Amino acid sequence: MSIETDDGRGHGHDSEHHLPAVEDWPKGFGEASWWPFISALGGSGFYIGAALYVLGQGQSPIVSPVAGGAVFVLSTFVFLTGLYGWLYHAFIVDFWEGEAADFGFPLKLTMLLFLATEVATFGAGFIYYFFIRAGSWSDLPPIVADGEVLSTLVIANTLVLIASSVTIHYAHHALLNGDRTRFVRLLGATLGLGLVFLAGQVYEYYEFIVHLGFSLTDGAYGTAFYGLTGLHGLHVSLGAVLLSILFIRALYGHYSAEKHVSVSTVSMYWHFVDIVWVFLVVVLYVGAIV
Amino acid sequence: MAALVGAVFLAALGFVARVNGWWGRLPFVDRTRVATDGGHAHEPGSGLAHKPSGITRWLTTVDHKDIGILYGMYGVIAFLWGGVSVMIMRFELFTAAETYISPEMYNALLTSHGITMLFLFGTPIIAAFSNYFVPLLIDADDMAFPRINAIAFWLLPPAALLIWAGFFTIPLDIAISPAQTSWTMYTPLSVEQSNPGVDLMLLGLHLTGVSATMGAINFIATIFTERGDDVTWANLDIFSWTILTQSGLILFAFPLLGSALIMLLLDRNFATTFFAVEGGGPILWQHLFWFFGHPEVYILVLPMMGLVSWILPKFAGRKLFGFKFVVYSTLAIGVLSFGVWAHHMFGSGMDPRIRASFMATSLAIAIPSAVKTFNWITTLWNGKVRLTAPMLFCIGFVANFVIGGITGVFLASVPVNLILHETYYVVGHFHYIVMGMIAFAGFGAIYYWFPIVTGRMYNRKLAKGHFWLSMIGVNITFFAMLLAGYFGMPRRYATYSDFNPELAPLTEITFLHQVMTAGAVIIAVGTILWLLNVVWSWKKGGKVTDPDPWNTKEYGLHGREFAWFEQQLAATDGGETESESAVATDGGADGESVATDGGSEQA
Amino acid sequence: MNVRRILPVAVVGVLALVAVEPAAAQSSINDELITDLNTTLLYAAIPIAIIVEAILIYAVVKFKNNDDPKPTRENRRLEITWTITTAVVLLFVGLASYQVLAVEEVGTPIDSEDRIEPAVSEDLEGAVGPYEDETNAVEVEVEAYTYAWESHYDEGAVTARNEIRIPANRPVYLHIYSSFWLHMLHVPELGLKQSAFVGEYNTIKTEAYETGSYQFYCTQYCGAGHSQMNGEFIVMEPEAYDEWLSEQRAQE
Repeated sequence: MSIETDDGRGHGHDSEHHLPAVEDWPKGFGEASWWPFISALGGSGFYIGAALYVLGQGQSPIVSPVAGGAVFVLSTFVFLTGLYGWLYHAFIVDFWEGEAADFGFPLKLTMLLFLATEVATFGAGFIYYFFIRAGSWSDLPPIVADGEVLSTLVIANTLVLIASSVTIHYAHHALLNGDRTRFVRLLGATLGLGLVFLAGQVYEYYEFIVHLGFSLTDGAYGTAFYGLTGLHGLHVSLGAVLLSILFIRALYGHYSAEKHVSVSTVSMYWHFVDIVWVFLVVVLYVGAIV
Repeated sequence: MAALVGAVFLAALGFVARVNGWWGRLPFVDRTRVATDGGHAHEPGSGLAHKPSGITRWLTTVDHKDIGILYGMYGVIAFLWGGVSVMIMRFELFTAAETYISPEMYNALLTSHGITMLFLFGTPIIAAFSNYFVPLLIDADDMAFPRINAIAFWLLPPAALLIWAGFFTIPLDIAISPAQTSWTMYTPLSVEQSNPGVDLMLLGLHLTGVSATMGAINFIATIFTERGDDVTWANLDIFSWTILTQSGLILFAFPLLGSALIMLLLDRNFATTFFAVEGGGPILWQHLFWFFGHPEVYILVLPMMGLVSWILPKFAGRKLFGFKFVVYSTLAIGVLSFGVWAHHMFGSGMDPRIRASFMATSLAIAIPSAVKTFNWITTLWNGKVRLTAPMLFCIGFVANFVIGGITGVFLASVPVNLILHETYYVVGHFHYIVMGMIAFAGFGAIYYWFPIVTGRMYNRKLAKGHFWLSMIGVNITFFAMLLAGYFGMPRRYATYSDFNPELAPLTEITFLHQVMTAGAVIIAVGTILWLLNVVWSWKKGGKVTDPDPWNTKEYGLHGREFAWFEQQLAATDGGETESESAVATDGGADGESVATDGGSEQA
Repeated sequence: MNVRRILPVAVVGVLALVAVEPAAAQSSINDELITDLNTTLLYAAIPIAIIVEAILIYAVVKFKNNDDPKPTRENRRLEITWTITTAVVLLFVGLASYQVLAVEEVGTPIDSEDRIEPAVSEDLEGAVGPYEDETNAVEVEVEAYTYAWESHYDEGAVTARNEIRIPANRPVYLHIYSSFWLHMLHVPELGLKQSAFVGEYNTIKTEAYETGSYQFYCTQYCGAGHSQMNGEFIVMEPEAYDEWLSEQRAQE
């Protein structure tokens, strides 16, 4: 009954010990894989890069100012290589041979647990905002005083993101009903809407910073605004990456009414990001001007 | 002076590296049982080696047992540095005036000691036990996500490099010094100290948080979905219960800390106002930090309580008394732990009504803690107590918990807190918990499972010496701290020569500091005995041939991990045929004696 | 064996009591209330600790290599009994603490209608003034910064460094704030403690009974100079205090 859940491989007879990493490089071993080490190397590289960036700042930089960026870019490649190898060997290499139903629950549970951690991650930022909102709430940037922060752009963008939640929901439904064409189309639409949202956010930042002179360092509200929308933007970007992976795999013929776990988990994530956005609009945009 | 400390640090690392290198040549690395993972029949082609040899094996392993050993090595290295740093501080405090380290170096060591012990020793050493044993205890093949498990570990070494970076750069004489923020990193101090060593430490801490969160998700998924057929919620062992609860706490505590650390980094480098007076203010940091920080205490202590609840009955010769109540109290502590954080801030001028409600929750959390203590003591009653080294550490754990717990009640009472807060009393109280309990349970578990992990037995005499030195040292050192707190000695003072001898009880305080240093030396000697014992026994200790080295079968307390061990021994004996070991694997052979720690009877 | 182990615990416990006991002469209302509470709690805690440790040691010694072990039998009644007993003890701790906390010297003075405006020199929120009928009340501003303390009297007219002076037997309001970083005033012998924040006042109240000098400390870790952030807290005869203040005023 024991199932290896991160590799989608079927398991043998109940009494046999299952080996988690049979396909992985280095080849020929059952419990060895370079991918975790490489992924962790790349993942830590982001932190080393950030550290070097800090050391490269200031009057007398300790390291070259470009070192941080260079390590960051390099780490991205290392990280993506590790991630690709891991995901490829764990989920993709023999996608159709795996037994779908068995590992759906663990993966969905894991996504749920991850989303619980996200509540805490966002929670800290929102608590900061509630602190300043309930606190002195003075020294506001003109953009809040004039109510300009809640623009048509934001409302349109919100509708776009909500629409994308609807499309991914129906994409999943189409897949369950065996309508692949509709599934792929709606999935593509979701990805498109996500990208439109990101473009809208970038445009809003541009308007605020360049034309209205409202930036990250613009008082307590500026910190809350860019901190929270920035954190959310990162999550939408990650969601867009996940959707792209789904979309490409769907184009290659993956997924069916029986095998759709990653569609479920990405969908959960996307809905979560959507809900966070609606909450964010209510408290950060509307809440600032009422 | 800085160079001297740097040299000590490098020497410590060199020593550890030697231990590490030496450990690569351990006989057990090539033991057949590991290489064949028990010699079961495998579907992906017989004759397939599971793991490469040499260093590649350790870099690529996705086996929960290997990763557990890696976590253990990591935790021990961190423990040694944490210990060295505190010994330097204790020698400095032997006299009131500044003698051989500067206040800056003292503060750096103070910060490093706290951060190292909590984030680089505490969490990883628990992960060592849980990685190795939870899958065995719940009859799982491995963790739910073996690769994520490996990633979570490999994020830790770079995290340690970042956290300790300020010490490594001392010989280089560049503008990075070790962070001097103290482990609580209170703003505005932590925002405005321009030393980039602080940024590096914050980045490293964030990385440890990512690692711990990945581990926690993995453990919850494992315990929920990977349990063997005959492992139900009703007979899930107590250690897995505590790991499950701990993982639940990590799920909310560490990501929140992660966000707070990022906010701190932004404040330091991008002039944001998260913790600035015009923004959230320093009090926001305190709220966010302690909302993480108090559950963190339980993140560290709950699994250790689980270990004691698991090991103590084995040597009491009877099942854990009140298994269900111990589980309930674990869950109760888990829930309550998120509602007590503001008792760290009673002196900050909060609304008195809020203070009173936090006092109530902080007192309430003592109830489930007391329930556990009574259950442990009752487990001993009418049993057959065998004073082996793991048992001694379990008993020491309970004895220290009584003092650590009761002193905590004083701190929960707001008025008393006002005279004791931020004094040595607090330091004494929580060291009874972290050293007297967490480290004790860790030592106990290392001795208890030593035969499984190494296939050898430790030296019993050295182990008992280790216990007595630790027990005496802990009670001397930390009881003296409690008294020093009553004399008003504030914590985190690099010197105390500035006190006016006419006003402050300087004689008493000096004497107590000298007692603390003496006690710390006793603890250090004990710890060296332990280290020598473990290293020596791993290489030269007597081979364990008895699959039941603790005679737990006699009392019907044979744990699943030892049942597994028996299969391993049987498989490596060489005489067995494939079919025989297959029978053992089916779980029928020892079905009777596989105890589930008391839960099954009621179920 | 067990006696040899219990004995030191008992001795140390009694020593602990003695260590806090000499405060027979109470130095302030805060100290009186807190010390009494602490002593009460110790009278409960030390016997409980000794009894529990004794039972633990007794169980270990008595059942060591016991020839006739009995299997564990669950006892729900016992579980419930000790849960409730613990709860009752803690309820007692809570009530005793709450009673003390309700006194505004130990708790925090809260702003209300019948108080006068606080006499402070900085334009900051948070300070709480004396009651209208406390005509003899004294207000002192305590300013912390990295790394020293200043006390300000008469709305900043008089300033002293690393010392705080108050008169005995009069209500005293200390308005505590910081002008750089976070600090915390701690006068252990008077039972006073309060964080000093930048940009806000926090008021604590006391009434000292005994004249004399006491050591005060900074108990909020604040970096390299933390260990030097101490000073002298001086309780004076009311007349001497007034005299000192007018002398200082004349000098300024």
